[in-house]
This record gives sequence, C-alpha cells and structure tokens, in this order.
Amino acid sequence: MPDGIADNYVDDYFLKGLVHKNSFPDLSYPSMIRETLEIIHVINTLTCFLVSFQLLLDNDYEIETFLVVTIACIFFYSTFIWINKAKYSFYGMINDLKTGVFLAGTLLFLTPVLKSLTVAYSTDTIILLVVIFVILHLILYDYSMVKKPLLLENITQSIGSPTSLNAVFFAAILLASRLLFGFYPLFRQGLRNYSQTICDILSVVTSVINLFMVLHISGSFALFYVFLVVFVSLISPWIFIYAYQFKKQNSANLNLYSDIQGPWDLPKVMQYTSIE
Amino acid sequence: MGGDELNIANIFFPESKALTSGYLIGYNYEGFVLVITSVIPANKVQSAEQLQDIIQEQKFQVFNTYCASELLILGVIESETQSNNEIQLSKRSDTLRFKQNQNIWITIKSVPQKSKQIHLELRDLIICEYKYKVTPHFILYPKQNEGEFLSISQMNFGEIINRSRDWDLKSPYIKDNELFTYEDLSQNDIIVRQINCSRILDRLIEERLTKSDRAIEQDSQFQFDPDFYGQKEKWLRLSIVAKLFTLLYLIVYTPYKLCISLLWIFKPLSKLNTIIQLKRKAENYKKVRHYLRLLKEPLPSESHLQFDNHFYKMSIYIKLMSVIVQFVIDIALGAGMLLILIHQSKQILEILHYFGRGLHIEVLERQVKWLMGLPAGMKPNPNLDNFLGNLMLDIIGLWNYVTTELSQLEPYIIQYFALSGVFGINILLALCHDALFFCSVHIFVLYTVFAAVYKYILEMMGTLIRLFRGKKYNVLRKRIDQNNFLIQELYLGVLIVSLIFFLTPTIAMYYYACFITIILSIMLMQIFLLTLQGFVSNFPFYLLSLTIHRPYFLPNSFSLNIDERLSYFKIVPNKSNVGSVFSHLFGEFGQGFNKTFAEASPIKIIKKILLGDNLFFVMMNFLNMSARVNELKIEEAHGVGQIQPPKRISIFSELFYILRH
Repeated sequence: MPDGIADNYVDDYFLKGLVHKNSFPDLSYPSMIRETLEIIHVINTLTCFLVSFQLLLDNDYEIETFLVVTIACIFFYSTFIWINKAKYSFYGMINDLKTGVFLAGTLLFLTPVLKSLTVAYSTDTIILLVVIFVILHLILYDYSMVKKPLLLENITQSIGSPTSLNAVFFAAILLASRLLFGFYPLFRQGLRNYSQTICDILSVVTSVINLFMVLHISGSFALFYVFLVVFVSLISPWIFIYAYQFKKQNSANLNLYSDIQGPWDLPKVMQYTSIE
Repeated sequence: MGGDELNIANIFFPESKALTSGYLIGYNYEGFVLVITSVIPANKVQSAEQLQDIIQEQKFQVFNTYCASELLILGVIESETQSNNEIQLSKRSDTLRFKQNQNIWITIKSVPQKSKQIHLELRDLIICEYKYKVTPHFILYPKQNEGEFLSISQMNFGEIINRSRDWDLKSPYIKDNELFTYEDLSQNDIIVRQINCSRILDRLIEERLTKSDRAIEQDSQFQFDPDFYGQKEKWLRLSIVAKLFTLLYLIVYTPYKLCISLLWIFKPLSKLNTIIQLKRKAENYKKVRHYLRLLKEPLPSESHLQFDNHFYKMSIYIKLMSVIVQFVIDIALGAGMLLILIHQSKQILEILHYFGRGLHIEVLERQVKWLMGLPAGMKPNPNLDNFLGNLMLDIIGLWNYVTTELSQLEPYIIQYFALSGVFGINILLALCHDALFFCSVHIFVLYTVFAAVYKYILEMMGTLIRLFRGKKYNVLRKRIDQNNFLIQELYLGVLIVSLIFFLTPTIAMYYYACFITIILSIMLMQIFLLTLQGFVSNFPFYLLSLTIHRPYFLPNSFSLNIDERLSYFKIVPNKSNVGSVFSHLFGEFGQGFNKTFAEASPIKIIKKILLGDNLFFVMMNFLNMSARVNELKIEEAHGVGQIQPPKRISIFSELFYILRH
C-alpha cells in the first residue's frame, strides 16, 4: 500500500460500481399510477357485478339492468373482434357462439336446482361465503396477466390463476350472476395490447359509471368506493415509493448486497402451464 | 448341582430304590457326579459280569449319546437290615473281582430311619483304584409315571403343540430346550437327561432279567413305543373317561356325517356362517383321521430323537382328544340349548325383541320422518330431503309387508332354530349370526345404496376441487399435476361442485344418522356372536382336565428341597404350567383376532365410514375369525416329511380299535 494509507482502508466507491442484476430501479409516480389501473379494473368488475345483483334483487330495474349488461357484453365482444380482426376468423366466432349457447343452456337446465340450492341457508351465510370467495379472487388474481400477449390459438394460457377465477365463479353462482368474469379480462388484455391509452381511459370511464351505480344504491358505499379507488390508484403508489427508498438506503448502508444474483444461485423454475 | 470341588460327590439316587440292596447301575458324566438309574438286587443276577454283559447290549446303550456317557455298573448298595450270616455284597469274591477292573466304584449303605425315612451313607468311592475321601451329597429324585419327565426349563403347552405342526422329524423338537437340543449342554442338562432315562432303563433291565433267551433274540433292538413306554401303542390306549367321549363321538359321527354330506344342496349359500361351520365340522373329521394316522405312524428310532418323538406324539394325542372332547361337549351344549329354547321360547322371543329393537321397522320409520323435518335444528335441502325420505319410506313399507307375515311364525321359527342345537351349539350360534343378517336385509340394501352415493359424491368432490385449483390427477404419473382447462370446463366444474357442496350435507345426514349407528350396532352383535362361537370351538376342555388329573404331564422345572437332618436333597417336580393352557388358547385366538382386525381395526372402520366404503364386506371378512390359524394342512405335512403318503383308513375302524384296547 502507498504511504499514508492504512492496511484496512476501504474506498467509498468499493463495490458501488458493481453491476447488480437485481438493481434498484428508480420509480416514478405517474408510471406507478398507471400500473395500479389493472387493480382498479378488477375492483370495478366486482363492484359492477355486486351492483347489478343488487339492482336485480330489488326488482326495480330488472329489465334495464339486464338490457345494459347484454348491450355492454355485445359491445365488448364486438370491440374485441375488431381489435383482433387480423387473427380472428369466422370459425372463431362460431366457436364463441357455441360456447355462449352451451353456457346459457347449462344454466337454463340447472336453474331449477340452483334456485333451491341455498334456500336452507341464511342470507348472512351466503354473504359471508361471497365475501370470502371475492377476497380469495382478489388475492389470487394474476395482475400481470394483462401485460402478456393474448394468444388466440391457445387462449387457456390467458386465463391466469384458475383458482381465482373459480372462486369468483362460485361467488357468482351463489349470487346467481355469472358471465362478467370469464371473458372480460380477455377483452382487457386484447385492448391493452392494441392501445394502453384506451385501456386506461376505459378504466377511468368504468370507475365513473360504477360510482353512479353505487351512488344510486347507497351513498355510504359510494363514498367507500371512491375512497378505495383513490387509495389504490393514488395513495398506495406514493406509499410504495416512500417506503422503497428505505429499502434502497438500508441495503446500501449495511452493504447488504443480498440481492446480488449470480451463477452461484439455485435456478428458479418457472411454472409453465404448457410446453411449446 | 454338579460337583465343582474335588471333595464333594453328587450322587443322584432314585428315591424308590433307597431301601433296596444290589448293584448300582447308572451314568458317571464326569468327576464325582453320578446318576444312579437302577438298583438290581443281587439275587436276580448270577454275577456282576453277567449284569455287565446285559447292560452292554444294544438296547441299554441306546441313550448313551443322549446322556453323554456310557451306562455302567457303578457300585453296590447294602442295607443295614441284612442278617449277619449273609456275606455283604461288597465283600463277595465276584464283586471284589469285578471291582478291580472298574474305573469307578462306590459303596453305599442305606440305614432305615423312623417314619419310613432313609439315610444313605457313602462308604467308599474308588476311582482308578484310588480311594477318595469325599463329602457325599445325595440328591433323591422321585419315581414318575410313564411318560412324565423332569426338565430344568419351563415348558408350556402352546410351544409343544404348535411345534407338532411343522416338526421335520430331524431337528430338535424345541431348539432351546435342554431335553432336545444338541449343543451347549451344561452339566445340569446332562444330569436331567440321565434322570429322565433312568425309569426307562430300570424297566428295561427288569424285563430283560425275566425274559427267555429266545425272547431276548427277537427283541434286541430298541423300539420306540414298547420300550420307551413299556407298552405297545401307548398313545392309542385311552382312559375310561376318554373312551366314553370317544364312544359318544362314534355314536354321533355317522348321522352327523350324513347331514354334512348333504351340504352340496346349499352350495349357492356357501357364504353363510352356518354352511361355513358345517364345512369346518367336516374338516374336523379329517383332522381326527389324520391324527389317528400320525399316532400309528412309526417314528425314526435314532436315540437322540426318542424324547422328541415322545413330545411329538403327546402333542398329536392332545390334539386328537381335544377335537373329540370339544365335539362331544359342543353337541351336549347344543342339546341343552335345544331344551331351553323349546321350553322357554316365549321368554327367549321377548329377550330377542328387546335386544333387536333397533332393527324394527317402526324405529327406522320414525328416524326417517325425523330427518324429513328439521333434525336437531339442521336445515337440509328440502327437495332432496323429501325425495330421499319418501324413497326410504316406500322401501321400508315393502319390507314391512314381508315381516308382518313372518312375525306370525316367530314361535315356530324359534323352535326350528332350536332343532339346530342337535348339530352343536356352534351351529346354533352360526344360525343366530345368519338370522341377524337376514333380519337386517332392509337396512343393508338401503345402506349399500346410500353408501355408494355418498362415496361417489366424495370422489366427485375431490376431482372438482382439484379442478377448482387448476389441477388434475395424472393417471400415468400417478400424481396431481397442473392442467389447462377451458373456461367452459372451469365454469361447468364450478357449477357441479357448488351443487355437490350444498347437497352433500343432506345425503351425509341420512348416511350417518340413519344407517351408521344401526350398522355399527349390528357389527358389534356380530362380533359378540363370533367371539362366543370361536370361544366355544377353541376352548381347551381336554387340556384343562389333563392338567388337573395328571398335573406332572408336562415338565415344568422342579425345586430342590433340603433335609438338613438326614443330609440329603430331594427333587420335587413342579406341576404343569396351567397358565400356558390359556396362553395357548389366547395365542391361537389372538392370532385370529390380529389377522381379522388388522383389516378391520377401529381406526380403519372409522376411515371406511368417512370415505363411504361399504361395511358389509368388512362384516363378511369377520367370518374368518373363527378359523384356526397356522394349522398345517394335510397336503403341506407331506412337504416337511411329517407323514408317509396317505393310506385310506376308516375312522370307524380306528376308533373302534382304540375303544377295544
């Protein structure tokens, strides 16, 4: 060592220039808000479903609700076909029609049984079960699914977490409303691939529509809904960014480069649903 | 027991011969340990040389290997009561001449005491012409009956009888027992062997001294039965009581055999307990014939196998008599039950109605109607509840029609049942067992349907819950794997699982509340009847009576009593191990229980109930409980060299022959 330098000297820049695989990227607030829009979509879908159920239960807006849901489904389906018109063939549409007829027919066939299924159970029990399965759906939902490209020829890959989907189907059966959850995520996925801006705008539009629908049923629930949306989309990204700096700082101060990954690490096996 | 120090001589002397004067014959295993097997009065032989020639014959040397030493004339015993005019045996010229050529020579004096006690004194002990000054320990051993022996280790009946199933006529009968093993014998083991041989040799010498030369020539070889026991076909000679039982067996045998031969009519009903028990009775005849044949078969005459042969024959004899006695007692108990049932049929009917009230149709109807309401506050699916309840009530109504007709014939049914007591109480119990199942037909039919539905629902639920999680059972890899499901498949699966999820409690309610309690109570009744049946079939009546009237039949070690005043020891054999009779019984029972209840332990039954498996098949398996386990089949006995190729013998003629003996 040169004169004047101690034997245990460590330079300030020691290891700072080392390139980490898992380096801490800089986060920006607007991009984080944009990332939360997918969560808002899922919340909106659930809210829309619950509100539709309530409207049907009240018997005041039965026909209007049924009409709006049907028109919305047709609209979304048409948009989906228009977005993927290059890949979507006539036979694809026939298959979709057959699926629709099959699902509707099964429902029609099982309706008398389904009607009496929960007769012996109290409303509180049904509500509890619905809440449990809805929470399960939210927890297990694959929020990164919408970023993946939509493969029309192997659409089962786009389903995401089957447990999440089945949980909300079960909740829907309990509340006797079904179709909203199976195909709407596919539509969003296709729309996002087409144009992310339109997808984001759709998210805002559906939030506003949901707000009006909830306001019509209950003011306090509308307030809660607004709070939830604002919290998820605006406040939680800010909290995340604020907490993130501590993680970065802590790791730098303690020289804990525990996130360093290299060839000495055990391989991470991806859970593939199919092998191509 | 053996003499470890040079100044002590251990002399084992037969208690019954202590007052006899004469030549001492016995074994000298080593050092100063002598076992006297016989005392031959001098007036029965011309000289010691003549006696020496006699005991050198092949017949008397047969136990040399077994006793690890040669049979010799060891010395003389003199009594103090001899008159002064007689020359003492030890002082006779031929004795003195003979003594000079012997390696060992002892002179004992017996002094009679008051109250029939004896005092033995060792006058001198000469080994290789040197007279030793020793302290003698006389150990008197008792005279036992024919076929009774001493042992150091405790023997138990289970061990002896079980071994007869697979003994190959070559290896030691019981490996670790000092009477049979070839290796690692201690001095005490040899002494016990020599004492056991003493009675046989004493008798053989006595007979030899009274026989003519011609008879001696014809009978020079040692033969197991006549020489070991002193009589031919010892095991075919029965006591009066045993003959009585055998006669009763013969009397009942022919009609019983005729009835069993008609069993072919009931071939479609071969699963019934009654038919199974009748077939087992038929096998018992084969056993009796088989055992008789084994008792008559000659056994290898190697000297080291004589005691093995004895215990083997003893086991076969016990088994033969056990079968005969059990059969007769079974018939007697059955006849007793017949009388009770005929004279007390009304009271018996009341008792049966009391215990079987759970099977009554009214009880089941009430149960179903209760389930169709709000049972214990539960809310089953109303549509399904009504459907299942009405279905059950319709089927019960049909069965009610049948039972109404049959209930008028109940007293006659009891009496016809009673008649089966003629075949034995075992058959009566088997009929009761079958009647229990017949009376529960309506329950079993409904239970089978409900159990099947419940089981299928559980299996469907399992499959659909896997679908719920996006998984599937891979039949090729036999594991659960991820699977891609179409949305239609997921949707339909969730529809069905929600149906099953909400309908299962209603079905489970009927399955558990209606049937499981009744089925379990039927099972308990069945187990009780089968246990009683097995107990009556396997109870060791004969073995217990044997331990009472012949308490020393099976060696069970001995104790050594010390008489300090007269300075001698006395061997007192212990009575046979009675506890081993019950341990043998429970051992056999336990094996049967273990085998059956390994498949139907309480935990497995609970698991089967929870999974919806039909308990009817478990109850059918319980019928194996009454079978004896580990019984070597006659065909297998050929494989281990036990018996010669079969000859057809008539059981009638064999049993008549035994009765005439």
